[in-house]
Amino acid sequence: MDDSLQKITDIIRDLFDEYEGPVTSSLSARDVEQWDSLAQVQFMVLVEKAFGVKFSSQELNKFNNIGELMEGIKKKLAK
Amino acid sequence: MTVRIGDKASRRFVVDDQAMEWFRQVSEDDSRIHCDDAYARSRGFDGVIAYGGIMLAHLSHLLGNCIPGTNGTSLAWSIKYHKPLYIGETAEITLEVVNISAAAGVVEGKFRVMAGAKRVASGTTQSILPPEEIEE
Repeated sequence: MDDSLQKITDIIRDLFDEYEGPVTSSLSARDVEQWDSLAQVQFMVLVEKAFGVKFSSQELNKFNNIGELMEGIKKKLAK
Repeated sequence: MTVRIGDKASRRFVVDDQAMEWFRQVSEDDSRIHCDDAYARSRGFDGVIAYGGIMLAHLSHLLGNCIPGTNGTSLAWSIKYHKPLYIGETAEITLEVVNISAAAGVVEGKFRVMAGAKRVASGTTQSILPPEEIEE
């Protein structure tokens, strides 16, 4: 598994402990019952810490799924 | 007001018998370590130990009035107790902003409670704040 996806998978497994489905690029908040607006806040804080990146609220709103989030992280890290 | 990493707020307090009795009535926590001086001493302490919930009440004051302030909402707190705080001791709780996520609208803090040189407790906080109060 890609290292970035593994990190995100670890966060999702920790935060959404009732979700047992696969974590893939196409996964989104709609697929996980526990993933509400407050969980989204905590998820993003953990992602920023895990990857050492910071997003703006505008950037955050553009991510529709894990794959797009990983692309966003990749672009941040490449800068 | 914009919150920034490194912002700090402090509050000094003394837990007295009145506060202990108030908290005991509100919480209905009758633990002997908080209520029975002879028992507390038999367990090796210098007297009854202040309720940790009273320290958290002072943390609540800092969060609600100072960092992030009146527009914040707490998401998470954690606390570790290191040394007992006794009745009548002067303590100071200090909260510091250690991380801000503009994207998530989150302010994270760490706090510690000191009684002189004695480290009584420490912990972390997480609050959400309206986006306009967080610098991108």
